[in-house]
Amino acid sequence: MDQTMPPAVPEFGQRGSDTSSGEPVEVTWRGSPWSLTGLSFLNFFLSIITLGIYSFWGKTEVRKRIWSSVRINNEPLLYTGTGKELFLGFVIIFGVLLLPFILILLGLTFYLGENHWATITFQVLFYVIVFVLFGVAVYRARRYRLSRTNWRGIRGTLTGSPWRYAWTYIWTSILIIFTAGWILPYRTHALYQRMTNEQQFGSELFKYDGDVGDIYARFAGIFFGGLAIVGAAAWLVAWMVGLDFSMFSDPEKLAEIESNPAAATQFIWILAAVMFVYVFVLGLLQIVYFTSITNYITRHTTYSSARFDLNLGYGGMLWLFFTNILIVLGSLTILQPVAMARVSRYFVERLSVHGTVDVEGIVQNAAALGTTGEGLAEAFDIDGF
Amino acid sequence: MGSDRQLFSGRFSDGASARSVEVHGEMRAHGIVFWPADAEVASAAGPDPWEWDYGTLTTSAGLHAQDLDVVVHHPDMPGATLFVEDRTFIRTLVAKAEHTSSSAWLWRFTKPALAILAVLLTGAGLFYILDLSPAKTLARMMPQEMRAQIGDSLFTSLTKDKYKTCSTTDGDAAVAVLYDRLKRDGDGVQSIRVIDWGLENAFALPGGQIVLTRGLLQGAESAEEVTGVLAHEIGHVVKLHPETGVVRAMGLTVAAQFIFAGGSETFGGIGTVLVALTFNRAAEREADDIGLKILKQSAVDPKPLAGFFTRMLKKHGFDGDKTLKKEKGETDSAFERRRKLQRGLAQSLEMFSTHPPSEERVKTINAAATYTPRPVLSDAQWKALKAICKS
Repeated sequence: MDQTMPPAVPEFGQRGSDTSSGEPVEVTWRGSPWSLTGLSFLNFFLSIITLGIYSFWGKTEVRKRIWSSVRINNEPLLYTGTGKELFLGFVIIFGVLLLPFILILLGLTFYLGENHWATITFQVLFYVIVFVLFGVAVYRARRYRLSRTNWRGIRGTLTGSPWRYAWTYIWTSILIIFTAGWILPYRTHALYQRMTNEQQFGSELFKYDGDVGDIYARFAGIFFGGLAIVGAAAWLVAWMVGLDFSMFSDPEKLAEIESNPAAATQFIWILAAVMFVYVFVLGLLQIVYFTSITNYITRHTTYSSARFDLNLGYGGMLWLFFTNILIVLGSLTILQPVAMARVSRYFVERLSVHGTVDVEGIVQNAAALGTTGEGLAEAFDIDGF
Repeated sequence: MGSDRQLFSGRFSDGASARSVEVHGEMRAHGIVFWPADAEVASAAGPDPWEWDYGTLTTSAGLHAQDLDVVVHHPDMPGATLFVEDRTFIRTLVAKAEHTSSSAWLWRFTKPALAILAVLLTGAGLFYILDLSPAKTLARMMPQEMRAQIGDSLFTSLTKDKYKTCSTTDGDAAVAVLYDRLKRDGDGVQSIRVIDWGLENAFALPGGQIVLTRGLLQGAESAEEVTGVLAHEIGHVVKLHPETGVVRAMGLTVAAQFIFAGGSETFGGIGTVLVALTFNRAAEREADDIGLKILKQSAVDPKPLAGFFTRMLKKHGFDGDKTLKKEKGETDSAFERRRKLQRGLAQSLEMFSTHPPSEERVKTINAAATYTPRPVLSDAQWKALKAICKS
């Protein structure tokens, strides 16, 4: 026997230098998002020459890189999905859903004409199906990604039903319009609650203990504040250009404007200015809402004996949002992976975990891995990462 | 020899639980060997330390010499991970297990792209070399009723309140005389219509429908020229080129959907179909061949057809949609849609401009003029045909 051979040891897992099972957790980010630049350009090139088919593999490689930048107690998260899985997932959905739809629609269009009731009904039916499946797609995509996320060899999963999630997704979506957006906090709360309480890493479930009342308290300020800002902005713009508001209730004045090109042009400019302010303010408010709520729900999420804490800043989020838009648009979307990595880094660097995790008690979950991924999400172009 | 030993430390997880233990190990000639850090002081006998062969171990990413850390796996222990933060370890690993290097990784990374590219090129090559046309096969399988429906639908889209169908008793009779002269059993021609469109053109639609334009009749220098064009269109009908074009367009739409993953902009409806209806050179040559055969059997002079192509070559541009005017009560978007459709039609129907008549084509036609022709129409009939839209 080799003299350098170390002494024989007992089975791993039974012994070791750090056997205390309650382990404090630290999440960190390693590397620079810009290190994905080369990969982004290579992906773009390879996707172009393969008519886009390669993008499934390219996306996988980007995920591997972003995942491994995230460190939990210094050890990287590993993404174990493959391009082939994403590709097959898409091919299946394409064959089952999109292809029959396109063929039937083309057939109807040729056979009965574009404006025939059957053609229109079929199209409407298809969009309803897509709407229903959207929630399913979101849930399944998350489940696939979790099942392909490993840390110390342990993977995640979602244990619930995609259809139950989709149901909440659908009815709350419909109510957004009828409640003028007032359902949004409930929707955020309900969807996050369902997803989180069904989310597992290894054998252990995550738990969400947030209160919808707290979310409404945060939302109300933004909602009414937003309304006030938009209203004030509209009046301010109108005052600056000297618009006479009485014209809206005076048919004669309206008719006058319609027949006077200069006045009509001015009116259109005012509308455009109000729309711009509205969209801009609404965009800002959305970021503010997202930041506030994401911090809240994360702080009300626990795993094992640990509680998460997130401190996204409003200024930081706005900066991240606008610079990412510049990066993505400026590079004609080629540098999208860099933008994604920047978001990931920003979140990870502001995430902390209080308490400990019973690492020894966390064993591999028994959920089947599946062989294809995210077909629906790919087909509907849903993409977080 | 002890000073040559390359030792390392790391953390090992067996993949059964999320616990990890500190390990110490050594890089040997054939693989890495490691054991729990506290086992070095333990004296109890137990199983051997883990030994992972360089040939079979894998890493979670391609390794650069400047990398700070690595996660190593082994197929014998699925789920188990060895995490090592040691540059010397990484450099040695890259040297001994070349498949873990970033260059090997890059190759693995680009291999699927090359495979996809190879499949695409081989497929395209095979189709080209073997002249495989699934579109043609599907077109043959289409029932006549369906072809006629599609043809009608396209004809309606083309003329929609804009170009009426021309008809006079004498003009219709002249068209009938022309077709009677060229008619062959089973040529599939169902109708020949003249529409009131100034564009100088003729086209074949699915279901054996041939459409001639007023512009064609007025620009033609002789009845033989129109007869030659008609014979060429019959060639398209015989070979089911319009039906093949429709099937191909459906295929293109589906392919576009696939490539752009459901992007709705690619689904352009009938416009897309019409653009793809443009016949390719091979189809034009086929239609020429058949047209020339028909002309010969019918003793019609083919030279005027060559004259027609030459004239087209000189004058044709594609401005079919520029003359389009917005109709009363039509919304901007409806007009824009109609304009796009019209342009699609013009592009697909102006086969002569997308596949301009080549010198070779003109030569082939002239070379076919080896027989003694008989006139097709009397002067009176020719005049009636030219005036068919003046009803």
